[in-house]
Amino acid sequence: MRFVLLSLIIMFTSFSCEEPISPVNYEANVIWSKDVTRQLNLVQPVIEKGFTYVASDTTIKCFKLDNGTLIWESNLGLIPGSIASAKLLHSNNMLFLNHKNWVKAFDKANGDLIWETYFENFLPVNLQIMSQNSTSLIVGGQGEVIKISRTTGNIELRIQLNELIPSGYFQIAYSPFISEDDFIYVPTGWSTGNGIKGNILCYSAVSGKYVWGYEILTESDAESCTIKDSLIVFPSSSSIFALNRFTGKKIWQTTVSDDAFQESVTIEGETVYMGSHDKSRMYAFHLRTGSLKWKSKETESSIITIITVKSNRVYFSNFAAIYVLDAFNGSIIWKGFPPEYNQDKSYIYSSPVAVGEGYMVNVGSKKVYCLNDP
Amino acid sequence: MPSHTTNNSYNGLNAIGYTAASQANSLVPYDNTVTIGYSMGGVLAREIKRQRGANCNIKALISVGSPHTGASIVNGAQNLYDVINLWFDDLAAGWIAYSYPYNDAVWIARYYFLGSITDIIWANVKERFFNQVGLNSDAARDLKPNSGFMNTLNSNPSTTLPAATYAVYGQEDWYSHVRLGDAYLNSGTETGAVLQTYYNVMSYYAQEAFWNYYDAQYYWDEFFDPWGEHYGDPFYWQMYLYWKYAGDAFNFGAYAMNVLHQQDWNYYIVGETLSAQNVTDRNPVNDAFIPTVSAAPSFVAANKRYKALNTNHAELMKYSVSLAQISYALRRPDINLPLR
Repeated sequence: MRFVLLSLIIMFTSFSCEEPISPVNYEANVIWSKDVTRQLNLVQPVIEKGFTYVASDTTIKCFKLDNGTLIWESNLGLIPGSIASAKLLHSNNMLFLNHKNWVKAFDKANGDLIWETYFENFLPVNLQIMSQNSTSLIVGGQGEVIKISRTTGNIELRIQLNELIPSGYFQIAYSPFISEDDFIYVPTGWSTGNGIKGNILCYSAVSGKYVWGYEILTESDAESCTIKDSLIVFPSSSSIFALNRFTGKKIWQTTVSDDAFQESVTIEGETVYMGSHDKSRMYAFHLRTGSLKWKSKETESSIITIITVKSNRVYFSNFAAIYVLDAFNGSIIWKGFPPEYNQDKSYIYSSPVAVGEGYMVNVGSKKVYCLNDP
Repeated sequence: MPSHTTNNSYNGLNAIGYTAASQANSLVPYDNTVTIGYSMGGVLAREIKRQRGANCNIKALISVGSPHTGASIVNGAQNLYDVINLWFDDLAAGWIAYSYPYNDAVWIARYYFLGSITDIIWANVKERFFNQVGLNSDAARDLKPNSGFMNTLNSNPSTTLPAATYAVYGQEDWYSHVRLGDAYLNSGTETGAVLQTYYNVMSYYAQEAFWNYYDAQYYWDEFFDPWGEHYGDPFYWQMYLYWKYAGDAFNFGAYAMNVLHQQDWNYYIVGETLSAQNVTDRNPVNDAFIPTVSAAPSFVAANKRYKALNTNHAELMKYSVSLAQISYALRRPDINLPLR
């Protein structure tokens, strides 16, 4: 008789509308939330020194991290619409945001506009992620990348991407990367008319001179890259590549048989983390050899986002839920939707999640959320 | 370069080949068109491409929940009435255990417990297929797996696909049939209200089972207590059996709602068998309408298939999750739609 009561209790516990996740020792709760109006909020916020900075709707806002008090709000001067960027950058005293043909810098202390730069004759790329080093910002567009001063916003270089492409075609610079030792790495994609091709191009960030290029031989583009030591790592279709970043020579290539990658390559320590958008898994590869360390269980949505790896955890959101994985084996530590989700499915976590100082901040479809780190 | 945005519709009852031949110019009037084809719209776009070949205006296709290799639900929808009757039987079992006649038990299950939910599902799928597509329409005939139309369309898929072809598809959460009915009821947005009612019914059955087992436990304990006054009393044994039977029947009703009906929906309606692992993971693996293997077929490259979390078929063109996936497809180099 006891067993039927036990089975009934087990059945009760399975009535949750979300799939059971184990272990359940870690919990994240919403500390505070604030309303936003646009559904497609895709800009990763910033967390720093007890504050969080959030770009959504037509504004950029600063909140106190622990209680959500609005410190300042600055209008971006946009007509209502989604911001065509996927990441807010920051320096000691400034925030940088790109949108279509412009980049703007705001004072972190009060939200005042410090400078704005408009690019003439520039064809932007939607959801462009800028990169920065200690002096400059780099922005990608269609057929070129632009380097500007972080201090003044002055344009320092405009580099036309004419390498490794037939004349009459142009390649799109998705999320270029600028290193502290003044190299610019540009993952590109271009349409052949019958398919896609892509390259990794390297330029001097001082002179704009072409240093080397790597042509991806498969029918695929490259949309993100990152560096560590002498390596540049990037995904393309079903493969992850590592090149010597000074010569462009291929060090390793790892191909998975039943999956594909697009965005979100991240390096932490000696591991490359990469989300897939076909099987929607997180992968971890050895940085030096490319061998697979682990791949997570399939999640329910393509992982096309910015990944954060901190304190032996992998954090990401995939346009609906936030996931926290164990960086050692890919097991799910915590997964959650906004608290309103169970009553109203239109509440989701939509932007890439920002992580730091014991908190996670996400711009959702209807609210900005601050959660404790589980 | 000038750009245009059009939002075109067509008679969804006509043969797809006929619609493609007769309406291609009005549906795709401009050169280099980026077409977003929702559901049958994606199949229609491929048929236009097949018929027009190099003269087709479609430069790129983003299919959204399109049944590229067929929609088993055209056949499955005909099973719907029978399947729902089976569900009522599941819910009637508890009342039969309470000695209600079968017909009365089904009536209680239908009108007091599951009717409001299944009627929503029934009405909306019925509306979708009997009225909008029409189970006997030419379009529905074309959409059946292995129909003549499908076999022709897929005999050489590359001739039907623009160079830039992307497939966005949904993956709904457990109870996907309930969520789908809710979304269809509310113009493509699941409110959660129908699912809440579903939970309430399921909880009622589980609670009823619990108290029946509780009573059964009492009679069991009394019957086997050597120091009690009812030790070995056959009446107590009979009462134990009665409450145990009733508990099992209500427990089954709750289990059926929790697990079996999702499996039924996948198998009989969508045309996809859930693996044991998917049942364990509570993952119905499709958008509750079109099997994933059809909405994201292998002839669309793996790096061009975009999966949208917790999105059912009715929600695909409205839900932020799928809209975000479409945004990322639109910026790929072979589409590269200018920002507006």
